[in-house]
Amino acid sequence: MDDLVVTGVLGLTGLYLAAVILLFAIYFFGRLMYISLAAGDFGLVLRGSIAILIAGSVYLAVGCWLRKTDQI
Amino acid sequence: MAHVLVSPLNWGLGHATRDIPVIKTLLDHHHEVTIAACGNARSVLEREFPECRSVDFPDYPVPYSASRFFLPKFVAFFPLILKAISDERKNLDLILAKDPYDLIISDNRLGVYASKIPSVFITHQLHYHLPLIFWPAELFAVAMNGFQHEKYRHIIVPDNPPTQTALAGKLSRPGTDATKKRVYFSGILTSTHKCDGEEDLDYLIMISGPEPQRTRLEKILLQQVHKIEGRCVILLGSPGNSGTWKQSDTYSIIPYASTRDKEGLMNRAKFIICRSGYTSMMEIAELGKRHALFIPTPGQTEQEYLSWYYEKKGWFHSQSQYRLNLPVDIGLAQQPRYTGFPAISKTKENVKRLYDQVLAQYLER
Repeated sequence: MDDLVVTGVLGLTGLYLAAVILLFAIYFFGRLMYISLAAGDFGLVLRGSIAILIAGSVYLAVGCWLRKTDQI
Repeated sequence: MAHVLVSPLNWGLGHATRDIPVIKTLLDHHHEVTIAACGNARSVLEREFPECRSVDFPDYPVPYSASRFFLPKFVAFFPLILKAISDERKNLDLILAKDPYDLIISDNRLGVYASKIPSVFITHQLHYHLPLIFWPAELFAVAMNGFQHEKYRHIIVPDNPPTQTALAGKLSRPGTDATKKRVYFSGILTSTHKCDGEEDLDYLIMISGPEPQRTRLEKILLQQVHKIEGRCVILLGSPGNSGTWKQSDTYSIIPYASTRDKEGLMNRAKFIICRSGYTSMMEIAELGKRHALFIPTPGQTEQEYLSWYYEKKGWFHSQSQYRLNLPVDIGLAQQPRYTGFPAISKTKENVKRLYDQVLAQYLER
């Protein structure tokens, strides 16, 4: 098979795999938060929410920085 | 005399029409040109160059979407596009086995190159623009582009170098060393010429681009066109119909016009309303039109970026088709703060320089 096609297939597999892992992470954290909320463990819900907020902010900040520095 | 294979992508006519000045220059230098394309792109080039041989060379499925969320469908189409590239590589081998070639010119066809024949790639998109939330995918696309560009001797970008006069903004900015080493900024390339004559048409509305968004824009504009004053021609870009449907004393509707007729109308227009596709942008730059309103195709990130970029630069006003108010937006677009594109070199000069500095080294040996 042509190397362009092989690289494309590998790249695509990586991209789809990343999407599946992301969806699984969303499902896992969502479920954990729901169970904690139902069990009345508000401390865990708070810590989880803060962790998600920080992770999301860092992710967006990196994107903004890449755009500001003309890297994307 | 050398033999050149020219292969444009058939996603709209923009790739084929910007290759017209390149093919003309090759023929002027007495080289033989074979056109390898499919669909309307092939038809346009066959009509323009009846003296050239042409071969049917299928390309990729078009992942256009009915909704404003183009990206998910585009990603879902990737496997089909990869399969098409694989077929394209096999078909290219068959074409190259039949005749000897000295140069391959691929216009945005990712699989059209050969290791033993010098190959050049024409694209205005060295960089894809995605919503900020998908920044890892944008970085990934830059790296993939760099890998693909390694297959070519030159990457010809029909834009000015990434300075204040770059019409494609970040889209034409090289991102990897492989691309930087090969990139050649040719300046704009378009088959549209500036003609002497009076600008006797107040408005030219060009409704083009992929369905079903083309028809949606047609409906939106036809509902509002009676609100504007002045002589107006509406070009529907709908090849299934023909003739002129005269609607009123002030405006007429032309279902489809040839490239020459369209060129004539664009020359006559004082104000142009169209999609913000890069081919239209090069045409407007070539004609030196200073007043226009752009309506990006929903979900097409390239057009949405160009609209945003021109607004930011103060060159042209853009409006989403969902928020369009024709009289208000035309008024805004005519404000003095919109200056039109800066003065740049035109196609005639650009294509001559492209031939002398890039193509001639492979053809005049």
